[in-house]
Amino acid sequence: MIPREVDDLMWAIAEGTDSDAIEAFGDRYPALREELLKRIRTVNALKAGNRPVKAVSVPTFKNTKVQPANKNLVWVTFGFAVLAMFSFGIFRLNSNHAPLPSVQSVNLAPVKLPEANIPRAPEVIPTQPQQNNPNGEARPYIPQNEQNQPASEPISGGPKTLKLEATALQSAILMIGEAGHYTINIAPGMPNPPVTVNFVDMEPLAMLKELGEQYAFTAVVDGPRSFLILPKKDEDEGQIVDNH
Amino acid sequence: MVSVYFEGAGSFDEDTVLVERFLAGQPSGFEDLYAKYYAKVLSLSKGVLISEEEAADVTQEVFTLVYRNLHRFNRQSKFSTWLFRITINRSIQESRKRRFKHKHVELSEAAESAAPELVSEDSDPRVQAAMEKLTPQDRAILTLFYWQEQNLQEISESMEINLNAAKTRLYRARERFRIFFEKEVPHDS
Repeated sequence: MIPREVDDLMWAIAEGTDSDAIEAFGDRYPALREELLKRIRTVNALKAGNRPVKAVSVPTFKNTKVQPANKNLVWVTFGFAVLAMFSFGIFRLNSNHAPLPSVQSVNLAPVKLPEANIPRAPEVIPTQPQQNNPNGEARPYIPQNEQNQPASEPISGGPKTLKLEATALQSAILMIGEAGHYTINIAPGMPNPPVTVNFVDMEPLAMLKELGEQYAFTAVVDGPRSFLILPKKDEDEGQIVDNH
Repeated sequence: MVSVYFEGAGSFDEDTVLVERFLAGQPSGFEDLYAKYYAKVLSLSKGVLISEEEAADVTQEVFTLVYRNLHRFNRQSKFSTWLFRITINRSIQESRKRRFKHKHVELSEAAESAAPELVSEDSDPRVQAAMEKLTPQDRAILTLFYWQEQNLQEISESMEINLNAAKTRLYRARERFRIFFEKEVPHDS
């Protein structure tokens, strides 16, 4: 590998015609003498390439029409632009005439809860996350706060059908939660007996309520589309309680 | 006689007199520029395009562009620098177009039409062969430096690059040329 300074020096000597410089370089770098000669040959060849072109006589100038070099590109770009506008127009036309999707949005806020049956929500302060349930079926309790809530409310998707046999209660609750796109938090100490459910074309919220009535738990609304499942107290059976 | 001075370097550019003459309505101004620079433009274009026939076409186009746009010459550089810049750009454009076209030409057609014009009678075929393997940009900078004998400052203006970039590009182009050229040259020579 020839150092850059020596490389530059060799090119500089090769570009010139100073024979003394050639000799001096050869004396100082005898190993590079052959390399220098190659470069001199290269430079001489390049310079010799500058021969007059064959057409010595200058033709008469004609002010011909010059076709822009990128004329085709202009046309292609124009074509794409027209195509894009056309496609966008069709898209907009279809968007305006397409039927609106039948999305049933479930918003918990306006749900009318039976006034008489609303007990005060119990104060539940999570202490230790539930790591391992003896049945091994419950999810660990994860406290939800406002930051963890989804920014936009998902769509429940309308009535669902859920049939389960000999399934753990907490698993069934979580499945209903998934069906309704709810966040379900199960409080520590919640029983987890095997249950059998057969809900056909029911709203997940109604499933939750019915299951709560059957298996003695309360679903407390603790955030947007989020429920805290608590074991029932004597005075509240299978209720959905809005804690907010 | 109008005295015009090249403002950029403070030196007199006699071509500007011809430009002014043409813009004042005297066709002889352009005719003189054309006669003076035709061979240089053709040589520069040929250096980039290699084909003399295509270079002649490009040269004609370049002078047509100059004829129509001479009023746009801002005199910030020498006329020759402006002219060579147009020539380089137009030649590189043509070279790209030709490469695209050649990709779509049948091999038999290419063998019949392209081969004879690539080697000029009065050029060293080894230099031609090595030049053909370079990119149009490499050919342009080598042509400007060795054939048009422009210095690096002039090259940087002709190619619209800064001085350091011109120096680096020249160095790399020369290295690449050397590699290809040495493959063409027998080892005992």
